[in-house]
Amino acid sequence: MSGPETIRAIIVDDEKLARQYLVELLRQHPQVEVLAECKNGFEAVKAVSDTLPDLLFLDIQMPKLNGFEVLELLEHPLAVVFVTAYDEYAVKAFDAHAVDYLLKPFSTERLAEAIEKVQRNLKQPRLPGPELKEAARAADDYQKRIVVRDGTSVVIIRDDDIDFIQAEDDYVSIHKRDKSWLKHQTLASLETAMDPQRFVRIHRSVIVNVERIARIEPYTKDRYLAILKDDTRLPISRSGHKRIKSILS
Amino acid sequence: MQRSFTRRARTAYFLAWLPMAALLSVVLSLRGLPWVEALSLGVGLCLPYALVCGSSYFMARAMPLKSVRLLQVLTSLVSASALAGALWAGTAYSIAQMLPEAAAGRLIGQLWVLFGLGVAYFVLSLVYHYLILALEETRRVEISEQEARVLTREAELRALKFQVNPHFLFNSLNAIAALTTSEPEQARRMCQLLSSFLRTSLRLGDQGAVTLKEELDLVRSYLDVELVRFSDRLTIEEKVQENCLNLMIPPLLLQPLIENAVKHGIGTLQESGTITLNVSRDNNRLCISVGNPLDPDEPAQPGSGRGLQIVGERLGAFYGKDARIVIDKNRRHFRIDLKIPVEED
Repeated sequence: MSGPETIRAIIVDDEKLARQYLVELLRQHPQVEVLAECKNGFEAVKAVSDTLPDLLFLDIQMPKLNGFEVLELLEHPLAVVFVTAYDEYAVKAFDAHAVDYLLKPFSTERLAEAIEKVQRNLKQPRLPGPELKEAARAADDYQKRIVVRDGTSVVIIRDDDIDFIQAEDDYVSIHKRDKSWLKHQTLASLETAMDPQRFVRIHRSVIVNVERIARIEPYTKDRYLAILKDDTRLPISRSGHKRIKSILS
Repeated sequence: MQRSFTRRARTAYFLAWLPMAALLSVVLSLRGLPWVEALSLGVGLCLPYALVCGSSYFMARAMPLKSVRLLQVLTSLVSASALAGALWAGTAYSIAQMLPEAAAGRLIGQLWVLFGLGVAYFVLSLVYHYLILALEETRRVEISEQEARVLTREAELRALKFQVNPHFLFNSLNAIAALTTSEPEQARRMCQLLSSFLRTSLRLGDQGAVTLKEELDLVRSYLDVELVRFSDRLTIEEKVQENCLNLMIPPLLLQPLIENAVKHGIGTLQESGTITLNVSRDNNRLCISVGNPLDPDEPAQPGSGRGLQIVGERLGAFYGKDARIVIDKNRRHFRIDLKIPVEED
């Protein structure tokens, strides 16, 4: 172990001047190598897959994907430093295992401190998990969309486009008309994140968009089927039937 | 107002003694006194007694009826009435001593009547003063309620007043920090633009109403700052009818709408976008319309709803039901139309 290791970093911010400021201040830290500058969440997800960096400087409010959604889509463990003008996300950011949280405009000293923390953390980089999404959510503010990877690109599915979500082992498959996407997440975490008046867990393995239900039919004793408007048939468990009945009535 | 009410009540009190004196005279004359004697006794006895009964005002004030010791209060009131009646009869007795014998005999025969009427008059006076005090109290409560309402309204309006969005401020300062080394000239200009915006918003915020021209100047100075931050991502299309410029509007009405359009519109777009601002006049209505593109993937932002709600509440506070807000929104576009009554300078 001689000398500081190189930290390979990506900067994500939609404002050019903000990226420029960070790049300029990072010149005083030659051990940090800036691999890419991204101006939105899509570019960030792609750049991380392409270059596998150690560190992400991440803004929160950005076009397309916000900072938390970007983390949700990463499959590569890295250190995250949020850089934002919003101080209200700090708690959520640390819940999301952020290494540090810089408030704009930050000082050179503050940046040096953050880089020191990153260096200490570099030994055990963590993969920010899907629990992030819950951390990023205010109590009464339900998740309004789901972001998923589709090959190399990112797809944003708005909640009103979702027909139903099905659990498949460690994944969930999100169905929108004749398409579906797999995402590494638990059905339970989605259930708590989405508006319970509109998305109801009707079965151990199914969450349905209430608006899509055409009718409910008895199947066997105690068992029912939800028939969607496109004729998809979904199983309803006994407790699921209670839940859906109380929502529909 | 309070004072004049009390004065009117006092005048009414003394005027009420005229029929009381008349009543006494009639009673005395019915009981056989010659009418000259009855009248002069009626007036002569009632005049000082009006003052004595006036003391019931202070009793009423000192002993409110809602007090827990109601029995005690009633006992004192009854004794006071009896005492006053006795005093009156006693006065009549002393007067009788100074009268010729026949008249004195006639008067002394009426002492019980005088005592009874004296008690009744005192009780009436007590009732009157309790009523006056109760009325005064309700008026006082009403007035303080009204004052409280006005104060709350003012506080609400203050709270609804524009506040500089701190994120806008921090992001602008960050932009200045970035520019200081790379483009010092531009950094200096940005400082000036930001100061000019802040100064104008502070000045306008203190006024009850501003001309549309003043508000547009504020909007432009705000956009000047945002143009530095967003550079080619942001374009503005502005159409303002000349004959609207001198119309009066609530201050800082338009600026938050433009800020919304930048933050929730342009700020969510990957590409560049155009904000449209149209101001026109249609007879007695001023029409202000702000439009911006939206990213189709962007869910409704919780913050923007609150901002529009504040605009709605402010319009309600200024114009009551005469102002209208229409929102036209789809996945790719957002437009808000305000129609407000014209208030000419």
